[in-house]
Amino acid sequence: MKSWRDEDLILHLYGEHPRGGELERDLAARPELRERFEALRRDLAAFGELEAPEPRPGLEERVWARLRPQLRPQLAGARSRPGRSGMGELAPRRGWRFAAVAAALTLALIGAYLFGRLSVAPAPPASSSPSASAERPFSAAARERILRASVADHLESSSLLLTDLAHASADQNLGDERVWAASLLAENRLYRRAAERAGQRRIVALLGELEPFLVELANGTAADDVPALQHRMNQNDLLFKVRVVGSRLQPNNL
Amino acid sequence: MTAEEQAAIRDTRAGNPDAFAVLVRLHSRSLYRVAVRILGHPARAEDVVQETFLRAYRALDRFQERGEVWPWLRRIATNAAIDELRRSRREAPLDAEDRDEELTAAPHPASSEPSPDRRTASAEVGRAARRALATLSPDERAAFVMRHVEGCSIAEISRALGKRENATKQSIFRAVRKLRRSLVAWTEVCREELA
Repeated sequence: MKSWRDEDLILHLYGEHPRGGELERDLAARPELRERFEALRRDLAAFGELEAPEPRPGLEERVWARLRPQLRPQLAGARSRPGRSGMGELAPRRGWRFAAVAAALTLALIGAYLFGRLSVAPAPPASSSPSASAERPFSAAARERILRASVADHLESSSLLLTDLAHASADQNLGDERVWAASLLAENRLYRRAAERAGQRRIVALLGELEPFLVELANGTAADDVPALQHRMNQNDLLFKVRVVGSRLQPNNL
Repeated sequence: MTAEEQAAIRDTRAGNPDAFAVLVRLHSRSLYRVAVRILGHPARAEDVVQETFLRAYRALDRFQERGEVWPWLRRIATNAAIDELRRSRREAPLDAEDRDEELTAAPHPASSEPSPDRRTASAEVGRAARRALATLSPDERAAFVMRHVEGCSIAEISRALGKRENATKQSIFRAVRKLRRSLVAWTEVCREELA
């Protein structure tokens, strides 16, 4: 007699068991197996159709209104850039790799900041409920230090990217810079929200200025817009501002 | 692919970004439902819809070999939702009780006019389901929702998540085990209430 595991029953429930016919015959012949299968079915029926709440009215309009400014015309032939394969497009350079690691580390820190707490003990007391894990809030001063250090790192990475762009030739392919900008964009949004919550207006203003530039760089498709990007960057003194604020936020300058 | 989708993609690629609005109009709601089921959070689901279209727009030049728009968008949305779920869990552990609006899990089939007891039991099941879903990892939750709710095959889910089929199966198995453990007490109560 075949011994069916729960995993077999799960696959059969979803009609994906490779020996579904054999299992079906056993279900008909063996009450204890049928009972296990029905118990599984009942338990999962509790999820039934997970009913998604309807979106607020005007979803399509809101999505489009936020999306449209980020869309730049697609250029015919953009997918066959000379000298760069699809894989090459994603091949990270040293600066990008560094930025990605730095971003991941700082994101972890800022996450802790955002919610003002940090797990300090892995095992809660036996009397605690599972949700009441041992967490202790950061002090306000500690959270401010974390925010500033995280933003400083972010601005340093952004400064590297902008410097890279400032020195790009007019016909340079910006594939790596675009990937890099996309990675910085998510962090930029997170830090801006954190800074807003902390009332750090200067940081909010700078990150607010940096964000559309990162969006534009991340979403661009043409190689011939390097001069336009450089012009915009210079016009707003963006690199200068990023360096100055980043420098002021460095721990040894606090 | 419908003629409308085909025209939208052709015109967008020809340099008219406004043509992309057709895809936003046609697919936003369906993508929202996918995202909100994975995330359990309406506001974040809306962000995921936007992110999905942004990623799709940027990848439009690679779409040519793919036949259908919807599976392609759904795959992007699933990955965007998983990214968002991971990000949100890094920021703060999910707490189903903290969310403003939530998924509701449909209870066992009930009469068309449920009694107060039935409604109470249904609400309890909904809460228990939310708590249970919140215990899953992003991959487990996505795999389970796609299989159990969206009705995707394991092969489809594997493609969407970029995993091997065995890995997807293991995610589903783990999800089901966790959900059953979390739900076992509640389903017993509910069964009695609805009997």
